[in-house]
Amino acid sequence: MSGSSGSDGGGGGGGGDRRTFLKRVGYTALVGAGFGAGALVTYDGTNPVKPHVIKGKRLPMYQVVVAQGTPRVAVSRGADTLANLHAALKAMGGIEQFIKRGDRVVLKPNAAFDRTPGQAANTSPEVVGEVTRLCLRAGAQRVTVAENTLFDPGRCMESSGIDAAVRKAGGKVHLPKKDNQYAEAIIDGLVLDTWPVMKIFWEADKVINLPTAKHHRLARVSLGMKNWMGAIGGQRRKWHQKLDLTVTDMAAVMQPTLTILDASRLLMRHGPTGGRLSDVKRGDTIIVGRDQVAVDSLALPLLGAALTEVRQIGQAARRGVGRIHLTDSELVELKTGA
Amino acid sequence: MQPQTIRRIFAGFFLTTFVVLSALMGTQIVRVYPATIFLELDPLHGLATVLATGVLFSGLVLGLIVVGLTLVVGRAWCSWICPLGILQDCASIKPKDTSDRAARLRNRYRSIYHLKYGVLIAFLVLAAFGVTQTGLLDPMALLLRSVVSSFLPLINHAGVHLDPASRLTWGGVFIGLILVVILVLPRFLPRTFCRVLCPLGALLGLVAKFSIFRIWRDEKKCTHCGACQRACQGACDPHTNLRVSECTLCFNCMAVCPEGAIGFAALPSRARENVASPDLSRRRALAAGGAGVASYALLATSVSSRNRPHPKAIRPPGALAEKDFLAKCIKCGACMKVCPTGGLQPAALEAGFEGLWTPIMVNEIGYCEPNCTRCGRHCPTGAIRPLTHAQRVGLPPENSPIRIGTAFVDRGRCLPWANGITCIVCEEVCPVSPKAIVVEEAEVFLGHTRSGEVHTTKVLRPYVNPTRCIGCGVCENHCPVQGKRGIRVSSVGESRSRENQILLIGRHRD
Repeated sequence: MSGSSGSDGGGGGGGGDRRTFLKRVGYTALVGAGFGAGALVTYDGTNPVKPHVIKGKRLPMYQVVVAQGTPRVAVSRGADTLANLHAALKAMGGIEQFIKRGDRVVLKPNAAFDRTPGQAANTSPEVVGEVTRLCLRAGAQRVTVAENTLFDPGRCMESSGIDAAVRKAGGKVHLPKKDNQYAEAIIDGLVLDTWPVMKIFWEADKVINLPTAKHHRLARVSLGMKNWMGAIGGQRRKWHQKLDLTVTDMAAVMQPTLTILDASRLLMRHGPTGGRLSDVKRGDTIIVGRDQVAVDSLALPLLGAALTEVRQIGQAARRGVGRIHLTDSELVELKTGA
Repeated sequence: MQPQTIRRIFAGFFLTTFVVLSALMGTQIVRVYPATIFLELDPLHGLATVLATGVLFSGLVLGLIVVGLTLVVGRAWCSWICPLGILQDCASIKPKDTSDRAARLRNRYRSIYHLKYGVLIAFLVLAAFGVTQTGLLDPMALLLRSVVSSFLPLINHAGVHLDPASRLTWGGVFIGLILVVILVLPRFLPRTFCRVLCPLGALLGLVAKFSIFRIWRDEKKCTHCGACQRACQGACDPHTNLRVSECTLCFNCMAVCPEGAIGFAALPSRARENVASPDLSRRRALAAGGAGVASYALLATSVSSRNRPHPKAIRPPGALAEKDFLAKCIKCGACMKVCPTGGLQPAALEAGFEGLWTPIMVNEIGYCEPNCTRCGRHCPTGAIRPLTHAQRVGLPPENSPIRIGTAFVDRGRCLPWANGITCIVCEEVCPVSPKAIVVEEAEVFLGHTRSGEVHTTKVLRPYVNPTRCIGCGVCENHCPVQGKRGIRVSSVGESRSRENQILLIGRHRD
């Protein structure tokens, strides 16, 4: 400790005494004033409740203005998955209509499970890889495949084959598990006010949803809108309490540039995790669309589900998130192969 | 009158005041200012909570009085006002009990006495990280906690009923034993706690470095007889260079000096003093600061109610969100003293080590009285907010009551559910309107009759509606299944936390 009057050998004349005394009182006053000022600055007599004000940010708009005559949805059927993908994209006006030079693209496949491609719990790796390649070829600055996996991220990536496919195509993989990799998004929905969403969605110009088509115990089916549960953080299991409302709330603010539904094979039972090959059947279909509600509704017959069973699709249509009923010119149906 | 005598009168007054206020606080016998005034006067709480939260709450501003007092006369608080200091003085071995030489040895300054500065620095560093642990050793918190959780239950058991509730305690023995040790040690070394450990004494010692008035010794008159050191309580070396940071102003030296060589004055020329600085080198300060940082790292990385809500860490109504609560709670026990049912108890390790002795509801002992707001009105640091009745019960404009948890029926222990026995005491006592516990009539299997027919009965089975339940624990408290109750409250659903929720919270609840 320094600075006080310290030792003072005494002796000295009266003037010296006075100086020493004043010096000491000065230090005392200084310390006292320090405490007083600190108290003055920090004093709070009421302890008011700080309301739970959660600052959220709105998610960007990812949708693009398309040329006249572009369908809302293109469905392509055939044994060759990649041929289906190319045909459907071509019918939509080509990926170049949606991805521009310099775009930062986020792809959101379903890659949440430690399952092999044949088990059909995740999106096919060849679809994810090919879309990555196509986006980069269209001039995308970078393509990031993002997923909040349900199981260990490393295992999910390895088993699904998605990590290898994306890296081979030149994309990046982003598997955030830390709270600080998520930020509150303003949802303003019927049940969600805000919810943590991966920060990478604010660093993206375009977002392509890459769901797979499968059975889901509670939601009946898991398709495009349900796939956003892999883009969020927080205590996402709570969504199950009102799943149709939460999924619709989220879909209303997360409108992707494109939805590419991989229905090349279908998990018909024991979803969304699956595991048995006997629960998987061929779907031989790729659905590409700029209306996620329409894409989801068109996939229902594949899974043997009725629109009335899947409440989130009706919800979303009623709330104008997308449309169920398309005119002839809005829907293109194709066949590839022989 | 000798200053020593005046000091004893003051000491007697303050010790009595503390005991009386502590005993009467929260009782309906007579309304007096709560004993928490001693905690508010204690500047360590003000300083620690300001470091932890940036806010000096309400009454804690009174700590400035003691800082001011110390800046003028030195650590008078320790011998004149601090009830634990006074108790230490009373418990200390007296000079006449042993030889003069032994008495001088006892009051020699020892290097272990710098430990308290280290304790203070470590606590303040922890506080700067938002972890307020000063209450572990702060004399006011330590003593009030001991009185509330050990002494009063003890005399209550002996038949002196100051409180309406039965005063069973949760870990009161441990708290009491610590006080016993603190009061026994001075039989061997005077004022052991004050000299070695007390972080408040350390803080006031640092402030006293700048005090105007000091004890002084006239070298010309002094015969070096050593009487002053034999009588010294602070081990502050009055016979040589006074250690002003250790001096507790007991004035024993002045009283016993046969030459009248010791005085108390502001003027250095008369004082001819040589003042030793607090025994605190830069290296020691850094080491203590390092200990604080390391403790923080350990606390932050271990599971506690700060990072993982604990079902048993049920906080009183008005408690701030856990992180803010832990930054403000000084474990003083004032809330527990005024709790009308005695259900508010010092936590063991339910809230993690950091939450040791912070208040939790133990519903087996008492429940949270649904209209009561006493704990918040007595909390000296604002860790529990003072609530209005409207805030507590959710009258407009609040519209939502304070929830401290949610009750869950244990269907394996609930009498109607598990045994087909009529009960529903929980539904009957549920104070929420409309009731949070609802019942359904059901026909349940009891066994087979001798002729082999199925024997059934009709009982009412309880269900909890989690959107109505406020977690008050009346149901758990009254559940006839002794031991582990058939309905129990968990902290989940508490309105102070956004994370510790079962239900999806969104605008649908607004």
